[in-house]
Amino acid sequence: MPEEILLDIKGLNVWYRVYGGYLKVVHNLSLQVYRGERVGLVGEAGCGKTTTMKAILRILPESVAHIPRGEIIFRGRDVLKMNRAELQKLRSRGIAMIFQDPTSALNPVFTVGEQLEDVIRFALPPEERQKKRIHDIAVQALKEVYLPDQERILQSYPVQLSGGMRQRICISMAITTPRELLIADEPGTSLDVTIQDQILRLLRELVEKHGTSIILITHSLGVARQMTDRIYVMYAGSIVEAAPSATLFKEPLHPYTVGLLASVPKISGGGIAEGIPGRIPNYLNPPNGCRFQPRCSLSDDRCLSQSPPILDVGGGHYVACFRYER
Amino acid sequence: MDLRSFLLRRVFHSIFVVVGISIVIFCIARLVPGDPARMALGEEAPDEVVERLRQEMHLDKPIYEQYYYWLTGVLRGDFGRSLVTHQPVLQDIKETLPATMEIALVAGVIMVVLSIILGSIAAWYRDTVIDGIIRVMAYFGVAIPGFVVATVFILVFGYYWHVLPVLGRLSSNISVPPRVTGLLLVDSLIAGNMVAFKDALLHLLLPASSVAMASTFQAARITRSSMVDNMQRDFVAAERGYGIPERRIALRYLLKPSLIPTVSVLGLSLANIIETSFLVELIFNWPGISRYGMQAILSKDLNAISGVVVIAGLGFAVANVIVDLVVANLDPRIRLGGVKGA
Ligand SMILES: Nc1ncnc2c1ncn2[C@@H]1O[C@H](COP(=O)(O)OP(=O)(O)OP(=O)(O)O)[C@@H](O)[C@H]1O
Ligand code: SF4
Ligand SMILES: [Mg+2]
Repeated sequence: MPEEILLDIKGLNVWYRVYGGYLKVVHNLSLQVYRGERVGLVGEAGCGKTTTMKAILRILPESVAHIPRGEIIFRGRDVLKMNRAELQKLRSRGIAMIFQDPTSALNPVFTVGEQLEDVIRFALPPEERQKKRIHDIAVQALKEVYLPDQERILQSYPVQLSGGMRQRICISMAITTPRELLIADEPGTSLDVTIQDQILRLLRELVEKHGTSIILITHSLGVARQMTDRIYVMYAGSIVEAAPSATLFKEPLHPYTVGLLASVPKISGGGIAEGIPGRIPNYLNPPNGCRFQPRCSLSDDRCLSQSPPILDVGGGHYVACFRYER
Repeated sequence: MDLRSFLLRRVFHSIFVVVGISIVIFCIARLVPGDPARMALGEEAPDEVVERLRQEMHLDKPIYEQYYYWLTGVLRGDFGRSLVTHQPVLQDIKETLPATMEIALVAGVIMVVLSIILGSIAAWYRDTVIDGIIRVMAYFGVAIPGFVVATVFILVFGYYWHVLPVLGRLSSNISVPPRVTGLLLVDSLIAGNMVAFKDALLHLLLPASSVAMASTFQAARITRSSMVDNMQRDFVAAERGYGIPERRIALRYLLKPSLIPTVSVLGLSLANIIETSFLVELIFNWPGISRYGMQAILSKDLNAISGVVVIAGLGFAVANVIVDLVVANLDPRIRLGGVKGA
C-alpha cells in the first residue's frame, strides 16, 4: 500500500439551499486517497457522490451549495481555503473530473475543438500556449481515447457525435495534461454495456500508463471490485464502510453493505439496493442518529439518537455502525 | 435540414405573409367609408373631375380587379401615386424610409447591447440589491407603453433639463450633409461632418430609446434567467473544473448559449417594436415612413397606405429572417438539427 496521502477529506458537510430550508446532503464525510491508489466510491443514486466530488474541485453551484463544515486537504493544502491562483493550479495540474453525463458536460454551442483546446490552453504555462502546440496536444488526447478522424471531431459540435464518442471526449479533456488525481463519475453508465466495458478498460489503461490516482464512482460493486484497490461505501451522504476491495467482498460488516452484496447477482451484477427495503432519507429532515436507521433491521434505541462513530476493525477496514463497538 | 433550405423556407413563408397582409389591408382600406377621390380633390371639385380620378384609380372596378392592377404595378416597382403628396408612392417611401431605418438601427443596437449587459449583470449579481434594482426597472420598462415613455422623455430631457433635442432629425443651425444613403449618421460620416454626426445621434437617442425600452427590458429578463439557468449546468462546472478562468467562462461559454433566448425574444417582439415606432415618430415629429403612413390613413390615401404596409411587412419579414439567422448561428443544434448521432 502506497503511503503518501494525496487527498484527505475530513468531516465534510455539504448543504443545498432549497425552498423551505437546506438539503443536508453530505454529512461528516471522510475519505482518503493515497498516491497511485485506485479508490472506488459506491452508493445508490442520490447518496451524494457527485456532490462530494464537485466539492473537491470547488465547482458546486455557488448560488445554492453551502459547505458549513469540513476540510478537503489536497497535498497538504485545504481546497476550501485556496485563493484563486491556487485553485487554478489545483484544477489545471492537480485534479481532473470526468463528468457523469457526457451530454450535459459538453457545451452544446461550441465545437469539441474549441472546448478541448481551451482546456489545454489554460493547463499549460503561459509561455507554452502556442496554437500549434495546443492543437497537437488536442489531437494526441483524442488519439489516447481511441477516437479516429481527430481533425473532423475537433470541428464537430457535440450534437453531431454519438454518446460513446462524447464520453471519450470527456475523458480526453481530463487527460490532456498530466494530473495527479482523476475523478471518474460513473463513466459510461449512460451508454450500453459493451461501450461501457470499453470505456472502463480505456480508463484502467490510462491510469496505469500515467500512474494517476483515481476515484472511480460506480453503481456497480462488480465494476468496483475489478477496477479498484480500496472501496468506500456511501449511504445518504456519509461513508458507512471502507476496506480493501477484496476484504469488503469477503467480509462486509455494515448492514447496508451486507444488504448490497446480498442483492447483487454475483460479481458483475448491475443495480444497487433493490434488495434493501426503504428509501434514502429526506435530506431536508434527515434522521438524527444513524442515517441508515430507518432501513436497518438491526437498529436499537441508540441508533435513533446518536451518529455511530467510524470504527477501525483492523486491516484497513473501517465501519460506521454501533454493532462493531466493543 | 441544412441552413440553405431553412432559409429558403423562411423566405417563401415571408412572401406569403407579405402578400396576405397586403390583401387584408387593401380590402380594409377600401371598405372603410369615404370616397378617396373626393377626399383628395376636396368638397369643391366638380363631380366629373372626381369621377375621372375614380376611373383612373380603378375605383369603379370590383375590388379583386383593383387588387390585380395594384399588384401588377407593385411587381413592376410602381406603387401608384399618392393623393396627398402627388408624387409616386415609391418616391415618398424612398424619402421617408431612411429616417425610420435610422431609428430602427439605433434602437436595435440599444436593445441588443443593453439587454445583454443588464441581463448579465443581473445574473451575475443575482439576488442582490443590483439584481433587485434591475428587476424593478424591468417591470416598469415592460409595463409602460412606448408612447408614454416618449412623452416622459420629452418632458424630462427636453423640457425640464434641456439636455437632449426632442424634435426632428437635425438642429436647424446644422447644415444637412449631402444625401447618399439617407441615413444622416452615415451621410455625415461620409461628408466628414462630425458636428452633424453628433447632432444627428443626439436627436436619435430619445426616439430610439423609446422604441427600444420595453423590448430591451423584456430581453434583459430573459437573458438573466437563461444565464442563471446555464450557470448551474454541468458544462459550466466542467469548464471551471478544468481550470478555464472564471472571466473567460462568463464572457464566452456562459454568454453564448444564454443569448439564444434573448435573440428569439427580440424576434418575437418585432411586431410590437414596429407598432411602437409609429407612435414615437408622431410624438417626436420624425419625418419617417410611420408618420407618412399615419397621414395616409387619416386622408385615406389608398396607394400610400398599401405601400407603407407592404414596406412594413417586408421590414418585419427581413428582420425575422435576420433573427432566425442569428439564432441558427448561435445554436448549432438548430443549424445542424436532425443529424443527431446514435
Ligand atoms: N443543485 C442542486 N440543488 C439542490 N439539490 C441538489 C443539487 N444537486 C444535487 N442535489 C441533491 O443532492 C442529492 C445528492 O445528489 P448527487 O448528484 O450528489 O447524488 P449522486 O450520488 O451523484 O447520485 P447519482 O448516482 O444519481 O448520480 C440528491 O438528493 C439531489 O437531489
Ligand atoms: S448504527 Fe444502528 S442503525 Fe446504523 S447501521 Fe448500525 S445497527 Fe443499523
Ligand atoms: Mg452522480
